[in-house]
Amino acid sequence: MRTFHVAADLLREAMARKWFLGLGIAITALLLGLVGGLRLEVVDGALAATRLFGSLVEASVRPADVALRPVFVAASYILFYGGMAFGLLACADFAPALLSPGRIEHLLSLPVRRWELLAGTFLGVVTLGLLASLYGAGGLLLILGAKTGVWTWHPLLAAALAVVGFGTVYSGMLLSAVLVRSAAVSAASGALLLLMGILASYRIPILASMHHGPGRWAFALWSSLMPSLSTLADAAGNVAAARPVAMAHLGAVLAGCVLFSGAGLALAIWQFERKDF
Amino acid sequence: MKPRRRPLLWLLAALVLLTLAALVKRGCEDAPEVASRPPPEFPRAMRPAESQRMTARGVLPQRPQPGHHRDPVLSALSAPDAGMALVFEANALRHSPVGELLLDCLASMDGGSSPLDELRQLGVDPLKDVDRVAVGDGTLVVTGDFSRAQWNTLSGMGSVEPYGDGSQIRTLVGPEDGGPPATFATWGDHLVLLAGTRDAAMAALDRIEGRAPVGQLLSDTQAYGDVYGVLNGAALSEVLGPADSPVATQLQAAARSMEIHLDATHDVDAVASVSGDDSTQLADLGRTLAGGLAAARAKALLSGDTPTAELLEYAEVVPGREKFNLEVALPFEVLQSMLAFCSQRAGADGGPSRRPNP
Repeated sequence: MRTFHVAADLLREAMARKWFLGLGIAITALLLGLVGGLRLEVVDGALAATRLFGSLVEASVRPADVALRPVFVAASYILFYGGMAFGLLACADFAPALLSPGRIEHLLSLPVRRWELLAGTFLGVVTLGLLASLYGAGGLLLILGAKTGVWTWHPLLAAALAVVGFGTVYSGMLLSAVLVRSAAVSAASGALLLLMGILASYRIPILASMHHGPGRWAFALWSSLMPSLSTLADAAGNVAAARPVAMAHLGAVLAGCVLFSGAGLALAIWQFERKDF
Repeated sequence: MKPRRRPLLWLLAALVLLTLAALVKRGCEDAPEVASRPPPEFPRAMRPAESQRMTARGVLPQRPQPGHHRDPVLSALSAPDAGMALVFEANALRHSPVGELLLDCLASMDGGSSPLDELRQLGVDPLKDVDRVAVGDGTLVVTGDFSRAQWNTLSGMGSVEPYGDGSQIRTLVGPEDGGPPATFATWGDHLVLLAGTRDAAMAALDRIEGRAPVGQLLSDTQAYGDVYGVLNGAALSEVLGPADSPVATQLQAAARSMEIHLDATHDVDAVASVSGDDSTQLADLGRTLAGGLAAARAKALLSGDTPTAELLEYAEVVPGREKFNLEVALPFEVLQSMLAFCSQRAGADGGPSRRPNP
């Protein structure tokens, strides 16, 4: 329960920051731009023409839900990678601020365990990412649904998958903040983890192109430990497009990311428990 | 009292979770990402293999028109005033999954001798010797290897008359109702044609051998897919039949010409390019057809017919200037279920049963 209190405190703190106010305004402006600029002509359930700010974007006539799939896929990738890039910049300061001198001593004097502080911070940041993603994806769904009559919940699920991806990155950021109390280092470690997650998604073709030896062995070991973030992004795109995703594959990718997040959080807590303040 | 800290437990938990994450990751690496079928390959243009096939089929007649190596089948069908030419790549279709399915179905049928058996007695095995079957205005053209054929044994065959550079013409015995007799002609050992009249047969042979001008109803560059052809004006109206539905009426009114390409490599994927003079009527027709496809997909989704619904996702109407392309695919599974009665009969008789190719 105290974990949720810590998470709620973090959300209150985030609401007071201009970063998140800016994010909210940017998402709202983008959605309002789509409301005014996107004209979709639907005839008997088929999308006959798409115009964006007066220009003909697509002329082929296809079932409306099929024609909208590329839009949902694009939105899913923007949410995944754009949201992650924004998140690792905007959330880099939360953990270092929590550990700042004076504040951490005050927090530790309260009846809250150390692990609850870190778990609450992690939960708060992930909740923040989830709210922003659902706001963006939900707004897009409402606009396209009202214009075409196509109502689908798949992009919301894709937005949730993007948050799972962000969770893996933020667990690494939390660990680095505990080791080195610096927002810059935390953001840099998040960016590094994102890059490594992309690289690890393509480990099989990369391994196939490497010569046998210690280098290949080291890459095989290291890349098997990293979360497959690009694979998760692709899966989110497929979910957004309502393609029949192989559930075994999606489940395994999701489980890998959740387990990696848990491992990162546990390592951060381990370091936090060893520190004296 | 301060709670006792146990940092090593967290380290242990982290190591266990990391190991599990690695194991899960390695376990899913070979699993497919998407459970859907591959998208259909619509025959929108000539592919390299088809280009090679077309080049290999071109012949230089002894009296050529300037610069013309031409496929004899297309020459035979392309009279200057022709309104219809439809070519079936019989050999490719016979070896396609759909062709195999149809052959299995044919094999499971009971009864006496089939038309195929009668042809085999002539020295022509339709399943091995026939390459293409083409239909034109009152003309049927078949190509393949007919070197073992004994046409003289065919019932109703009249006398043989040499014609042109390497052709023979045989007039068949006329029908009992007194109509004009059909004409059977051969061009070497590779092409036979059946025409409604002797003049039509001679005109087709003249075009093949370069003595008569060839129209451009169906050009070499349009000869792609497993079935391809063009239907113009009256021929199109005849094929479409009576306009007994709103869509058929709209199609009759708007369409001047229709070019068809069909690929049966996996599923049956078809592209129909409809041309007309009134772009407004064509656009309306395109929208009506697209609406019909959207409705068919919705129906397939509601009835749980996943293969049809998946392939109808790719069905679309692509508008162009004074024409539109209609792209549709028929899943192999649907054809298989339509012909399920054959496999049931074959199973009962201990005959062959066909499985879809991946």
